Amino acid sequence: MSIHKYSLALVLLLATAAPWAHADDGDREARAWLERMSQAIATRNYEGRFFHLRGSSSETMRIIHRVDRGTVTERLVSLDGSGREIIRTQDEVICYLPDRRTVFVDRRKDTGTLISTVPRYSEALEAHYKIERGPSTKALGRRTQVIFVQPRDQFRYGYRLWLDHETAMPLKSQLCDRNGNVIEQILFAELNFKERIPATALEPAVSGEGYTWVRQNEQSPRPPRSVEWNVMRLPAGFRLTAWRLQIIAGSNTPVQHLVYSDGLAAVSVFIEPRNPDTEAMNGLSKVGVAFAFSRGLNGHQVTAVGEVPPATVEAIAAGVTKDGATAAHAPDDPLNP
Amino acid sequence: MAGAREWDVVDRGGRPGGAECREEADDVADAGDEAMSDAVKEQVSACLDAELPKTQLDLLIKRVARDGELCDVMRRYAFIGEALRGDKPVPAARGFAADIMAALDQEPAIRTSMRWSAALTRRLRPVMGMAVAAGVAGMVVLGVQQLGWMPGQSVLDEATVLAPSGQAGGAGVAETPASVPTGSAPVALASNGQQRIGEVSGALRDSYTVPEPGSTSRSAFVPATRLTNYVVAHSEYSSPLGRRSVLTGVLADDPDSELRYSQAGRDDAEADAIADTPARAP
Repeated sequence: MSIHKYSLALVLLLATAAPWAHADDGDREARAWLERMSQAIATRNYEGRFFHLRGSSSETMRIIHRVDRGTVTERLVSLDGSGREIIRTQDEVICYLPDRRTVFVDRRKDTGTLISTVPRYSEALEAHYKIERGPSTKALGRRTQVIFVQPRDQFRYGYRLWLDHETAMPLKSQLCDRNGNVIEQILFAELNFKERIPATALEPAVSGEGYTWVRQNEQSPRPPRSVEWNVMRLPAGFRLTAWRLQIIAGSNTPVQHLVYSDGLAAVSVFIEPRNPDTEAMNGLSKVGVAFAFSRGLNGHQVTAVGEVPPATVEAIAAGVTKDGATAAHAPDDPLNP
Repeated sequence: MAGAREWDVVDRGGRPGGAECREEADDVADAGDEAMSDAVKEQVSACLDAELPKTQLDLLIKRVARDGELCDVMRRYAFIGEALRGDKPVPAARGFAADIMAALDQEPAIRTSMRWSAALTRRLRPVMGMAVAAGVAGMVVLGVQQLGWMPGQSVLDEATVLAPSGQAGGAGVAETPASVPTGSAPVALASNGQQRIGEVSGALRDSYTVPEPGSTSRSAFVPATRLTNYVVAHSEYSSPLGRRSVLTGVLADDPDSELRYSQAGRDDAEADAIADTPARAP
């Protein structure tokens, strides 16, 4: 074959390969929409009311999101009977539960600003999610772009998002399982962008006086030199992205906190020494759409928690093992190096 | 039995809300223990249209007072209705509320009309208030739902081979339907199985099958306080959408959790003790 023929073959190969390469990249514009959405959620000043629908239950909630010189404060309030609210500041997350007369305070690890936790919607996500644009349609009175994020297996949830054309804010979002069944839906009834939001708008409606305050010690434990625990068999795509040794509110014993993520969904694994006088907690629990799976292991209590299907937390919790030689699985940029 | 009536909805022109009363042999109260049917929900809808005479309204209120599920449905609709009618800042668009109503209308769980008669609202409020109070008093975890496996159920409903951690993160390593290697016994993920994990590590280094139905029969029992702490701590590492879902779950008052607990046979006293117990120091 002459050089000319080789060249022709190469051109033909490239010509036929190009569409495939494009297909593997997925829908870049859809991912760009997700980036815009993520930025809008995290970086803009807004307040709104939305309906939270799950199964046969529905609740009305209010959100106030304030960004002041890169510092984010957010307040989520249940407008229904319980009067619960959650306030996230730079330093802590405070949950006011008037119906339980309890306040939880979780000190946040200083990771700069909350904005830094905004995920990147790269083509790597396409291995586990099919991300594509749907129709441009009108929803809730606004022009929106529909984006589908479909999981490729049963170990993660997907989304259907109606993003406001102008702001990229999700006016409507559905959390879906692999088969497209809607697990949870959030519908904004009002959404107002503000130039400035006063600090008073972020103050809780209840003082918490007379409540039981559950908080961790002020002193942070020394960070571990290496990750002593590992998950032997992770669902595809999940990898260790962060770990820390932290004090969980209400306990004085440091808890190993490992975070596994596929780039969109995340699962936390909490490992703490167990009181030998108590029975190990075992099995599956649920908080909203988040599942938790607990088990005892070598005198420790292991609990995997995440906004993922129950199979995922079960698989990850079951795969936890103590292994001193796990540096190979440590993240490149751990929170506690 | 005398004078007892049951309600049935007759669709007039496709609009729920037209209600017709007809005599039935059974008392309304006798139906209190039965599962609430769509017809009953539509009766509620008819009532919310304020088209029922006082005597019929009395019967419905009587039923609501006896039927916790019906009461809960009405309470939810009341909240939605109040939210929609509440003091609003600048709406996002003209006709927004109507659009929301239309969107909600499509939800099977909340098809019922949201219009309330002032008289009905006034009269039902004490009943619903009591239901809310009772719910709080008997609430085990309030938003924390503990699930125990039932025989024949498994959270991992498909036999699956998971990627070893060394491969995780790479494209194309998604699991495939399980085919247990010859000579290897299937290994179940057990909720209480240190030995199970040992078996997994020793016998099946690269793959394992996940549970047989009913293999994890013990119910979960993570203290609500501890679980809430975990979830809140986890939320800091979730994506913005994931975090919103997780935190709204903490806020949500989940009546199902109460139901499941009561079905599990826990009495209120025990439930309260659990819910109020601060996280145990390990």
